[in-house]
Amino acid sequence: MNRVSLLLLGCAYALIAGCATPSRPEAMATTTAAAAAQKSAASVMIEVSGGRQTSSTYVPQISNEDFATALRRSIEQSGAFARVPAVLPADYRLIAYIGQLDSPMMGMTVRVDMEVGYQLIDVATSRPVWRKNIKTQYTVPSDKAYAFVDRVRIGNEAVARMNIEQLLAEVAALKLP
Amino acid sequence: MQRLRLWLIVAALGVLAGCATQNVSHAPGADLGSAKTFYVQKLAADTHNIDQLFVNQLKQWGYQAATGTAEKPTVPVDAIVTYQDRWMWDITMYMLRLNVQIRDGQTGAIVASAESYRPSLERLDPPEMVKEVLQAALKRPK
Repeated sequence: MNRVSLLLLGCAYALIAGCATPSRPEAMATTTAAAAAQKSAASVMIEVSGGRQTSSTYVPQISNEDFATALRRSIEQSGAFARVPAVLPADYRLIAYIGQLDSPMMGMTVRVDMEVGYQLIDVATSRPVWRKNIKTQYTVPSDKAYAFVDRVRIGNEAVARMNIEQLLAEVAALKLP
Repeated sequence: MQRLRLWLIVAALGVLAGCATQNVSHAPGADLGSAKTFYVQKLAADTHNIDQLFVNQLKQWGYQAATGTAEKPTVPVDAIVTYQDRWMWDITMYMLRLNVQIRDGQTGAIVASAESYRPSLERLDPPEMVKEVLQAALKRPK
């Protein structure tokens, strides 16, 4: 087999080796924050923006819907808020803006960086009671998954999970009624 | 063998061609209209001086802009620019992807984010990609 054929085979392999799949809400939701230190009797509605749908030919992304689902599951699991309604009325609005989700385009180990801007708004006064940018970073080792796109997805899920864990810790510290 | 070779060529084209994509998002309630002064935080790993391209473009549009390696500028600014550049080799090196975040000058919170992804056959020069992402993030007319 000559060199051109070898190159073509390599390209073909790259094409079929892995199609990007979206990050899964169940893997982004945290279970370690099983019981929040401070449980609020209030309700919270979640709004997420800045996320993106995953294209099969690009690196995996995190969609607004999937991150919102992971947030809702984590809050419900931890009991940080009593209820998480999909629409108003609610006591608070938790606004999450995914400002950064960065991963390499190729490589063995995959480092993923995520930054989410959070705001917790008191619906009664329309004023923010808390706001913070939370940055998380995770490096996926090369032996974690065979396909590169799978390593990126695993990294996305890990940084999202860590981000939510930090969010819950910060919200618990607010000691909301 | 001929059919296999043809299939491989098609597959190779699929890998090399791709599609250029641009993405932009703005934080809820973001107001970039009043921003006049910018600080571009140079990425430590940036060996292509992309920070200077951001400064040049911002100045070309009439903004005040400066760059530095520190996370925060020494003088207050309206907005801070951070970025991530990814490069690829195909005959020559080219910028495959450029991400930019526009941050509030006081809080550092991201208020806008834009990305330009350009595979080999749709590659642009770095100054053009810088212009493309800034245009989207700052909502400037094309």
